[in-house]
Amino acid sequence: MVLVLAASLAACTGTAPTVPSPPTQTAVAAATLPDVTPGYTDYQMAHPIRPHLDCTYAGTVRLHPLTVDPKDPNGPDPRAVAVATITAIGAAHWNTADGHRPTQAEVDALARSPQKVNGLWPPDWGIFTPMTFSIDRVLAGSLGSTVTGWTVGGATAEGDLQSDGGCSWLGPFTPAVGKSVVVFLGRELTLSDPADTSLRRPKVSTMFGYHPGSDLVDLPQGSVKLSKALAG
Amino acid sequence: MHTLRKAITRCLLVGSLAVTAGLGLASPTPAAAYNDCQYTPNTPTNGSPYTCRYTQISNNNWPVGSADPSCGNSCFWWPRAPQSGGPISIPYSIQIGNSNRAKFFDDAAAALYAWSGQPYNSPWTYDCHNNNTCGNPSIVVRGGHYGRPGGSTLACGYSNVINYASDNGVFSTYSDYNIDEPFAQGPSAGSCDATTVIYHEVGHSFTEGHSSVDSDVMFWMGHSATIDGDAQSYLNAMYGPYKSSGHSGGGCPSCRSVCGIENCVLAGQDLEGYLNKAWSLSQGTVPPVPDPVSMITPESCPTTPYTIWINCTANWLRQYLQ
Repeated sequence: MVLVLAASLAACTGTAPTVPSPPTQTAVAAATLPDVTPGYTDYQMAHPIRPHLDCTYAGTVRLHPLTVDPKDPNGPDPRAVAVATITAIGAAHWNTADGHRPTQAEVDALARSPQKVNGLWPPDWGIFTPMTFSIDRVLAGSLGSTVTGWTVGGATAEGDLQSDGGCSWLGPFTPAVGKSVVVFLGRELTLSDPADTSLRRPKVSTMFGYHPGSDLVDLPQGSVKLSKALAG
Repeated sequence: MHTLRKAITRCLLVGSLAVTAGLGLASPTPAAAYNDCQYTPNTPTNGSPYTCRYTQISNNNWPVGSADPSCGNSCFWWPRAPQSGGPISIPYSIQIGNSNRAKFFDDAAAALYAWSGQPYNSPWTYDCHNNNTCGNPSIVVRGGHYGRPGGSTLACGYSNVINYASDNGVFSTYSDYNIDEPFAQGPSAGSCDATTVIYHEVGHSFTEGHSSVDSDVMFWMGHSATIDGDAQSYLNAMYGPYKSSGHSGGGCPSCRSVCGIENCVLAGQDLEGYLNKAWSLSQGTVPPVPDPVSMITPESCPTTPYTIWINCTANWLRQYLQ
């Protein structure tokens, strides 16, 4: 309270405020200025927090076309698409390099003075859950027999809980071990190198429930044959 | 004069934050009704066995999952003013400008006015035009790089609503255009509609969840820019009917009848609800912050308070919110 009042007094007496400015940016459509500085979230890390990330989609959710072009930084994220089975769901943690909870200083650094890494803007801080997939059929790109992808959200050991409002999966689907899915594997979790094809720690761009027996994939607008969905 | 006014405004805004922080933002006490969902297993909606005219944002991701959308004890919401039970005042910051593709800034401002002006105890937001006075709590509108999910699916907007685990009270929200996707002003095949996207995302910042009604602003693939009845029903359920200071309009006739409709409209946005709520907040004894009337220079606000205030506030808004 004293500090806040001091800040108020400082502002009223003309003293320069000590709180650094968040980054500002100029608005553009991606096609005209793709290098806009993204906004980063000013998390308050003094206490356990509960972020809810919600994604809003437009139009109709479609699997077609299965574009996989890692060399196009403005193209869709996926580097591989597969029919797969979830074989393990790991412990959630923050997307720092070693999974530690970001400190307030790390949060502030990204929010106030974001710096490119390898020529690319780093992703915002967030909580992710690793899921291991057994690859049943590669639909696009190149994959081995298993891969671990990272989905938005989860509860960390430190008490933080991020809920996912449809950013990692869509349709009438809740991930669980043993479930079959159509999974789109996107860019790297901590180093968003679009040209990296090694899929070391890919984010799950999106995922849908799949029924191998009937070849039906569950989309929000209803179930359709996978073969038909892929044909567009 | 402009500099002086800015200085006064800065003092008021920082002062308001000081008061807010000092009061500690009362623990939330959500209303009884968190959503309007019906269990309809035989007629699923978007794959969910629930059909919902409105929901709360931490609603088990309706309609993404198939679980009960009720948030129960985990509801997110903005606190109400500790003593009056009325709306709180929080700063917003729009960190994205207009472009040749879409009026990102204008649409964001219009959406904030529209949501803020609803007659419920949901927050009233004011422009944190000097970012040095921004902090928590706050509502931020930005552009973000969230990537493109694949196929021909457009992921147009993202909202990050953050609360403390200890009391469910929201302390910051971020409503983002996903500028990795193509944008247009209005509906356009293969592009995101900047207007409807940000009306929807700002709705999340007011803790609204999704609706199953196609024409609703909070429809989960939202394509409306009207704060419709379902959205209002949520605000009423979660925050309660507007608890004004008793000074709303000061007993004066409506803005439209006094000023003519053109004076209530700024940048194409009807500001009557926003200004009425601001007026009430400014005149109430608790909380007296922020005080938009005090931000107006006295010499430009003579004796007929409501009429002149509308005009003055519009002028003030033109200077500081545009």
